[in-house]
Amino acid sequence: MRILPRTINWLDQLEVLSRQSSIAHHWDARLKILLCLIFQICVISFPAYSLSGLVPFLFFLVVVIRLSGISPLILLKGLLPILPFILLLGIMNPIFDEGRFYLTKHYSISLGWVSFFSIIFKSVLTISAGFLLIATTGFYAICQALKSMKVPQILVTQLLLTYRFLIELLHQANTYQIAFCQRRGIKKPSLREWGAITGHFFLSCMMKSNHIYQSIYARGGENPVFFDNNKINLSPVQAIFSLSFFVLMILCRVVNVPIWLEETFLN
Amino acid sequence: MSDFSLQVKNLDFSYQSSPPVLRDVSFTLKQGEVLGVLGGNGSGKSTLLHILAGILDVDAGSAIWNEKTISSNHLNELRSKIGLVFQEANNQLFMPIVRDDVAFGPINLGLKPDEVSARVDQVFHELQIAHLSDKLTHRLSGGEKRMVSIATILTMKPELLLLDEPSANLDPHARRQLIKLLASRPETKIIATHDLDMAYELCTRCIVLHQGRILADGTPKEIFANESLLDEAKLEQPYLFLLNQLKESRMV
Repeated sequence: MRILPRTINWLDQLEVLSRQSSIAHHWDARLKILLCLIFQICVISFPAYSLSGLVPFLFFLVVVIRLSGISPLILLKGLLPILPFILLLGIMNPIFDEGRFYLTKHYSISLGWVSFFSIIFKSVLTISAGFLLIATTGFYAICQALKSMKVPQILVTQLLLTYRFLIELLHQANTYQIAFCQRRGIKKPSLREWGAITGHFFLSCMMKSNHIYQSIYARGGENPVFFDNNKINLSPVQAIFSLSFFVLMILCRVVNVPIWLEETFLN
Repeated sequence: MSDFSLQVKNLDFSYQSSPPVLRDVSFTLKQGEVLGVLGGNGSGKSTLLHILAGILDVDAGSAIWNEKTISSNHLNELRSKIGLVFQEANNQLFMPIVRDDVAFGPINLGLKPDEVSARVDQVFHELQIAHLSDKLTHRLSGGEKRMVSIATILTMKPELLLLDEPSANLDPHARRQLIKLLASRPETKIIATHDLDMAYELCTRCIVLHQGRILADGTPKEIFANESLLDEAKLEQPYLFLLNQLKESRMV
């Protein structure tokens, strides 16, 4: 019932957070996008059974959270609605992957469970990194940075308008939900009602998108420009810091740090 | 050179496979005039404004602004001269942040970043909405959205301002603020509205649309004095007009 208004509020919260002032906020948006991408590629490219190797990547998130002053609770709020989908992704692994992973000589768990937790961990890390990027930069600034990184204008514009339209859709869906509940109570809609609501929802979305298109067309013509040319905001300190982050991430990807520490210090 | 800035001649328009929305609409407008387009729901007011903004192309007839034919082919030249404020402010604002939305028009006119910034600041100052600059567009109140919608157009410095139901969904205070703002603006204006009191206050001339045709064209006093005309067009005499009539009769 309350998931739509919560999602809308949470998205707003991310945009409001992006207006704050901190080291992470003042960082050049292009660097942040690059670092976020490298982070996500490093995390995703880990083998399915390498759970321990992912742990050091938490360090990067913690550093950005500390630098930006953003509460981890906000990231958690965003992760919770997505969690069921992540669980669905990996839920079959423990059933079909019956190999054994030996923790000690006597204790072992199924490789399916290892890959299941690995999927959850990877998803949480990559999605949190995306959320942090939006919360420290703002969606418009991200799109602006993408454009200055020579990403085709059509893609960036699509991204910006899709994000804006998504918020409008959520508002619209929320209004429909309230209107439905007022007359029908908390009972779930029947299949026929679902059909009618969905059909009407899509029609009104089409009309809405047509109106927004007209508004863009009236002010921007046939080839509207959505971003002005932003100045380069890159300082040597930012470059050095980003480079060290980049090197550390690659190191953490190439070397399984927990195993390396164990071998170096415990042996 | 014509005496009139806007010349609309025998306009016909219909949406795909639908009955005509506008039939044989003709009128003229002088520089600085404020024209009220009055009429009931579905009378074709919004469609007329969309045509005058160059968003919709007519089936027959013509609309000419300062010797330039209004059509989607000339939109690039016209959009700096003619600005349309949409009926639904939600449809007008498509950027996440207010400042970016207000800057969208000037950026698309090809202005330099400094000029864009100066224009945006000037309009924020004129409309007294500088405090909304960094706000999320979809989180604004109805009145704030309306003001920001007008700001998005004013930054383009249009010569002709088209306003579609500008006072809809506004509280009395916001409505009064809007009337003051529009009264203070020097641009030629066309205001499509159901708010007849506002039309009575602001407009120098009114046309009445009914089923896509112009029923009457005259001063607000002439239009609002004709009760049978208003009845036919599904309109009512505005309170301000009645009050003025009462005052005049008492004075007599």
